Amino acid sequence: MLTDLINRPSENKFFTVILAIFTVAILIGGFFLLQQMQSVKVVMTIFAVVWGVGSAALLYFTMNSIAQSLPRKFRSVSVAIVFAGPAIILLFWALVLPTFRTLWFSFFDSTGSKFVGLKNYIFAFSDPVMLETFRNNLLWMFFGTSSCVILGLLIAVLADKSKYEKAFKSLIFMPMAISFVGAGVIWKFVYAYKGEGINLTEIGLLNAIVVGFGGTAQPWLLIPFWNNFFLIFIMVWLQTGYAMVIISSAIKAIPGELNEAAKVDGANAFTIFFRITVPYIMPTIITVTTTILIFSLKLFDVVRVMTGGNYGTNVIANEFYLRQFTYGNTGQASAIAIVLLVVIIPVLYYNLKEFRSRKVLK
Amino acid sequence: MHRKTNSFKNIPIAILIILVLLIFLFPIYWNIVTAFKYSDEILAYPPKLIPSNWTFFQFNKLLTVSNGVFIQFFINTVIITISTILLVLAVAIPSSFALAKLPFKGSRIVFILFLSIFMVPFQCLLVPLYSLLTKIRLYNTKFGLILIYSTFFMPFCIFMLKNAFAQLPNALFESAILDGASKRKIMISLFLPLSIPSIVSCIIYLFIETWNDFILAFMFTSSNEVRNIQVGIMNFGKQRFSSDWGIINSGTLIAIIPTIILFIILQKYYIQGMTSGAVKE
Repeated sequence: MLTDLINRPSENKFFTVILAIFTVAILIGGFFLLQQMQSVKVVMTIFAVVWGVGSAALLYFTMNSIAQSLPRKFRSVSVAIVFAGPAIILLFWALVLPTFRTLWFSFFDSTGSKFVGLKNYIFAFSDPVMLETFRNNLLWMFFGTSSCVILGLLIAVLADKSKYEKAFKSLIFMPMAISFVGAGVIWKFVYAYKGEGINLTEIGLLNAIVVGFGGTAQPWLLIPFWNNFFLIFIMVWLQTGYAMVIISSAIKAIPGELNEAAKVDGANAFTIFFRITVPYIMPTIITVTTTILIFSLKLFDVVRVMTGGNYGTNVIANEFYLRQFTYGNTGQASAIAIVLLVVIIPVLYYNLKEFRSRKVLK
Repeated sequence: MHRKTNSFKNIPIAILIILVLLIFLFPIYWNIVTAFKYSDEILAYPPKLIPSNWTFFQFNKLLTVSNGVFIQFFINTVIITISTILLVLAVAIPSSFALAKLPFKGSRIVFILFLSIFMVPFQCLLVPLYSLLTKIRLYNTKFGLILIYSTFFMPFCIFMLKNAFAQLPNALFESAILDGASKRKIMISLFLPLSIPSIVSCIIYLFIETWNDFILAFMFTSSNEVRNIQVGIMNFGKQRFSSDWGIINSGTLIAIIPTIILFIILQKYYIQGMTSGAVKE
């Protein structure tokens, strides 16, 4: 009887209406119940999961019934809306709307009450603190990205020639699974510095090596300018695996005859690499480069965890964090966020165009 | 196919490979051995490459400190991660299905919007989302955090799933319609089983992003009952344990083990998902 109703909802308008009311009641009731349940954490969590997944399913089911009961003319559009609607609403609510709110805030003062025009943007482009972050972000973008891509390419080619390719690749890829906090702790321990004093021994790995070879211990994260590179190395450690894996699968797609023909013609490994491999996988290299470029532009966690942006290692995203959460200046923070967005737009546009040319977009 | 070099015939390449591996893996190795050392050995010079006594001392200390707050962090992270995965899949699967097989007016624009949105810097969203969550009283709740994660990580899942669904032949879809199957039924019993690899890549992606997140959990939570493992470790590092490398290293090891194990077992799917959009065919 019930399955009958479910299978032919269009014939049961009454059932559909009841279902719709029931769904709305569950949604709203569950939400308010969740707000009240702050104290009983375990119960609340279980309830939240059941409520969330259950009402998502219920919502689809209800909307689907409603859509089915509509005249045929509207049916195809409404069914699509039922399926894609929740995702669109969620993304609009949490991603599109906030972006415009941030744009709005960026024209107001620290508390968002007084209109200040372009003042926050003038700050964003002229304050010495901001200029330092621009310089550092350029370092990250240039050295970080190029190191990841070049190293990834070299390792991919190297792995391709090795018998233990699979194991080698998955080991290089492993740091990608590690969180920024985890990487931060691991590398803080590598760079640790105790300084000179009685009974102080160097526990940092790098300093132990340096001292072991007869050098003097260095406070790696305090050396002006160069400390940026020690931080960039952490990103290279985390991201090279990504570049390597994607480039490697592109190398696998190169037709074997191409290499064979070149070898017959007497080309050596270097010629093959520069004349065949690299040109053939250029589109992939560009995609990987833009992805890591965006990543290094938005970079935040590594700096936050390692130095907090002190000692001349500040980056744009960290300055945003400081403006908003340390100085409580929403206007300036929003302007910085918008600058970040504007810088990313060209790369984003390029990526979308690439996707379209590859027919990923139908 | 390429010819593979016989084991170590090519010595320069072998040396290079070992060197690269050493640089990439030694920091992880160092983290592991430090977690299993006694405190005096952690501070010993010259550093001990292999602990002379393997011990769970640091883990014991970690799990008992502050009434076992670390266990709470761990459980929180598990709950938040699993809920996020379920919620995203529940919303993303039907959406991707609609985008791939039920083209409607503007469906392409919606997909482009999804695509561009996952590249928008999250800084643009933080401030308004913070006030929004506070307003609807979801600040500092697991549920609020799950909602935020779900929206942030959903676009990439829709991207992967839409491509997977689109690759399935239209004839399959049309013949099922002719047989009188409803669209919901086609999605669940026909398309889902055929797209298991892509769904697995989504799950791994979501697991790693959610489990490893620090910044969102840091900004949208304020009490230990809600905080995740990454924020927990950061706090350990900052507070009274700033010089206790043993406890921090053992905590980090526990935090990175689940993602690394997942990676080792299901790497194939993760790579498949990542390359689906990046490599030209």
